[in-house]
Formats: sequence, C-alpha cells, structure tokens
Amino acid sequence: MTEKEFRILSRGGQGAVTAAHILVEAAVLSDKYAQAVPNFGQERKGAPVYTFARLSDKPIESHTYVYNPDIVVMFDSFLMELGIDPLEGIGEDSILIINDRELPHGIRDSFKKVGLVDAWSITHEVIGNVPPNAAMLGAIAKTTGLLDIESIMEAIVNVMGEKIGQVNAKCAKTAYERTVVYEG
Amino acid sequence: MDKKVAIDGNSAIAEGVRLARAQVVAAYPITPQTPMVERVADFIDEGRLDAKYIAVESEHSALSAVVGAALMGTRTFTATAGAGLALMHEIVGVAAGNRLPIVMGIANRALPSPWSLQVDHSDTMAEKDMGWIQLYASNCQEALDYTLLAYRIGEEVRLPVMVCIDGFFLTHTTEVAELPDQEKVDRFLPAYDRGDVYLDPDNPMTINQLNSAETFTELRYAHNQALNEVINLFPKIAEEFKDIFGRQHSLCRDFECEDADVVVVTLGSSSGTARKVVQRMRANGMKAGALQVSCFRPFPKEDVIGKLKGAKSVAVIDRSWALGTDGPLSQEIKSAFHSAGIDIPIYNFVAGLGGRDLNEKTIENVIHSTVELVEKDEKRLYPIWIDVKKEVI
Repeated sequence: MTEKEFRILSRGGQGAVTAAHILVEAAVLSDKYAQAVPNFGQERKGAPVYTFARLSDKPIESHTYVYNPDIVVMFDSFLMELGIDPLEGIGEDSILIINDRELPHGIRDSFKKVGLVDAWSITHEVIGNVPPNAAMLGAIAKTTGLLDIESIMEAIVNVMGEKIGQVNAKCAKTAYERTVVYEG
Repeated sequence: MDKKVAIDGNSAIAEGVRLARAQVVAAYPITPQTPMVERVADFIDEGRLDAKYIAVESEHSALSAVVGAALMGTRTFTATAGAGLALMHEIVGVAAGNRLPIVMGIANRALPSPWSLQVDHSDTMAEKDMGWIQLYASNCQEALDYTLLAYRIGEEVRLPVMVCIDGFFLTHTTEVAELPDQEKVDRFLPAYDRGDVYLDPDNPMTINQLNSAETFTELRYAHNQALNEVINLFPKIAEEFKDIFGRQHSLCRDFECEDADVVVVTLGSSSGTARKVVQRMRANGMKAGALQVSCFRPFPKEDVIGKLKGAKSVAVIDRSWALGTDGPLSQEIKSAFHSAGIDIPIYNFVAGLGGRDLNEKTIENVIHSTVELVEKDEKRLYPIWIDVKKEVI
C-alpha cells in the first residue's frame, strides 16, 4: 500500500480526533504505520474541526496537514452549509465517506467511490446519544478496505477501554454492515 | 519485550521519563505541554513511576524545585513550553551553571507577542546559549529515544538537557513507535549516581554562592568543555543505544546529501517532511538532499560540515524569528563553514512561524528558490521569509 492521506471533516465534540487515534491503533494491530494529526486551535464544541491521518506500509515522514486527500471523511454533511467543501484538494481516485441518510445532491460524481452511512441513527440505536466516531470508523473500514473491521474493533476497545469499547466496537461493526458503497 | 504502540509526542516523552525512573518531577501545565506532565503525574498516581511530584504555582518555581531536588542528588524531570520557558530563564542558567543533569521536555511554542498556542522554535532559541544540551526530535520515536539519551548523556557530562518537540505537530500527533522494555532501559541507563557533591542536611554545605573574578572564567570554561564533550560522547552512547534498542541516532541525520545540488537543513518535525520532499524530487531527477540537526547545543560543526561539504548549495530553514539578522540555525551553519574555510552558497529561509504548517510545498519552494539564486549568483545578506502572505501585510 502506498501512503494514503485522510482529511476528516467534523465538528468539535464529534470525536474525530479520537477516531484518528483509533486508526493509528488499528494500524499497529495490522502491522502497518499510521499518523493522526489534529489541527488544534482555539477550538470549541460545534465549531468545524479538521483532523488529518496517514496510513502506509512504511514509516511516515511527513508531519504536516493533508492538502490532497486520498480519503475524505465527512462526519456531518451539514458542514457543507458552513462552506466546508469536501471536494477541496481531491484527485481522480479520491474516496468519500459521508454521514447522512442519503447522498447529498451532486457529490457522487466527484469521487471514485463513496461510502454512505447513517452514523447518527446507527449510533443512537446501538449506544445512545454519543459521538458518531465509532460508526464512522466502521464505514471507513468498509469503504476503503485499508484496515479490516476486526482490527478497528480491537483498536476501539484498546483506546476506549473494555466497557465503553465493546459497545462502540459493536457500533462500528453495525455501521460496517450497513454502509452503502457506490462505486464505478 | 519491546512493544509497538500508537503514541503522541507528549506521551512519548512521558514514557521516556517513566522508563528512566525519574525520582522528582515538578512542572506547571501550559499548552501544548500539558498532556506531557499530566501523563507523568498519572504514572506516579498509578504507582508505575516511583517519584515525588511537586505541584508548583509557576514555571520559575517548577525549575527551581527540580534544581533543589537535583542538588540533593536525584534524577529529575520538568517540562514547559513557550512563555513558560521564558519565565524560567533565570533558573535555566542556575541549572546549567550548577552542572545539574535535569531533563526538561519542551513542547515548542512561539513566544509572545502576538500570542500563539502553536509551534515555532523561538522559545528554545531564546535559551540556546545558557549552557544546556538541546535535542530536537523529528518524530515521536525520537522524542522517546532522545529522552533516554538525554538522561544518559546529561548525567555523564553533568549538564541539563532540553528535549524539544514541535507543539501540536509532534506533541499532539499520534504515530506508531516502539516502547522499549524496562529491562533494556535499565541496562542502558543505570540508577542515578549523584557523585560526591550534593546537599546533605546531616553534613551541611553551601552550593552556588557568589563567585569572584578569580574563578568565574574558569568555571565557565569548565562548563563549556563539558558541553563540547557531548560532541565526542554522543556517537559513543548512540552506538550503545543501537546495540540495545536497534535504532541509530546521530548528532545530525543526513539524507541524500552527498552529491546534492541543494541540501535543505532543518530542526524538528519538518525534517521528516524535508526527507519526503527530497525523495520525490530525486525520483523526478532533481538532486536534492536533507539534513536534520538533532543536537543543536552543542552545535556539531564538524559533523554538519562533513555531511554538507559535497553539496553545491545549502538552504537553511529557521522555524524561528530572525528579527534584524539571520535565523539561529543559519548563523551556526554559516559560521561553521566560514571557520572551516569552505565557500559554498548558503541561503537562509524563515518559515513555519506561530504554527503555520511548514508543508511540502514550502520546502519545495525553498529548494527551487535556492537553485534560482545559485544560477543567478545572487547573494543575500539577510534571510528570505519564504511563506509570507503579501496580501495580509
């Protein structure tokens, strides 16, 4: 696998930074290399947050933000109404994973592959009123195929602890199963 | 057994402190260093580190407390960032002048004003001439490894060490790193030997008293000799480190420098980014190279010259202010080359201040600008501020 770069678009409080950390933990379990780079500022709950990640078979040298993402993860499609553009910097082969009930109009043709997941409903159903990050991780595993769902589930338990981790791992699994992938 | 872990730079230094079995810790939290000392405090609370944690009300007191603890003959740790380091300034000199092997984790943060929470090296550059050893890590593994090297080297020459990691780009960036086994660390770093001079309540004496002109120069001379000794000592201890842990560290790390038309010189987290840019440029037929200065104090002049002398030109990136003159890294490189009588074009670039991403495009711009300047044989007495947005001024 060549180095894959992620741009994760979310709001403060949705757990994107933890999700990126779990991606690195899953990479450790898969004998891969990864990196999670949060773009911290004077953040607050509800404000747009950019988080970046990299995944590779080789050690990762860059320590910068991601400008040309191979994978865009959108935790909240309402961010587009705030002017956050999921298309920014993407290439011909870029993949989108988006949390919504249906695909926002016109987005399908801009990406090589799109994974649609209703992460809010799944999270409410499996856990309750908590951030949708575990569900988004399940959708990432399904859509990209870069990390298997078992590694993601084990990483969630390792990072969140046994009690909270198990239910979140179940949430990731459910999202993995229900993510609809549009391709070709 | 060594274990691969997902770890950020703050935790990497904290794990190093735990593995080094530090005995006294005092620190005052400040962004982006806070998680570093919180992690160390957790280790003590969980019984995983047998140390005394002294809660203090300021950075000046934090360093003063570990100076006292070090004078009693204990292995110590403190940490800070940005303005916190500036507040320590007086005691930074006391720690070094008393030859105390304190290790201080630094989450590099721009000094005010304007206020910023984010990285540049202006905080540690303001302390560069205070007689401490300064190491700059380029990733989380180096952050952990340099912490162990810091204790070992600092205790051999009896000098304090700053282990510097870029705010957010290392402190809060999670990566895959190897967490070494305690038994290996114990072999590399034996229990602290406090030597003959330490404070003992049963046998009182005064340390750090007023000095006359009769001996001041000689004490400074001895201090300077001890600091310069690190140049010889580092490679030997790094060899031992490699034998035990399997990882190679050096005073400065070269990448494709030998036949390079341009070598870009960096400190800290942008060093890895520079290596990536060089790799891509080489694949496209452009002869670029990268040099990471890992040990900034003492400055390894011979090593740097040795690794750069095959290059046709050098571009030095300073991630700190160069107000009124060259940036500090550039001053070192130019001075070393001039002293050695080697004449190659060296250009200074200022970039990545106050948290601005020192990204691949900026490094490419630095390399292309250098090629252009060399082609035109254009001299520059002052640095080039490469990523200034003209429209903002």
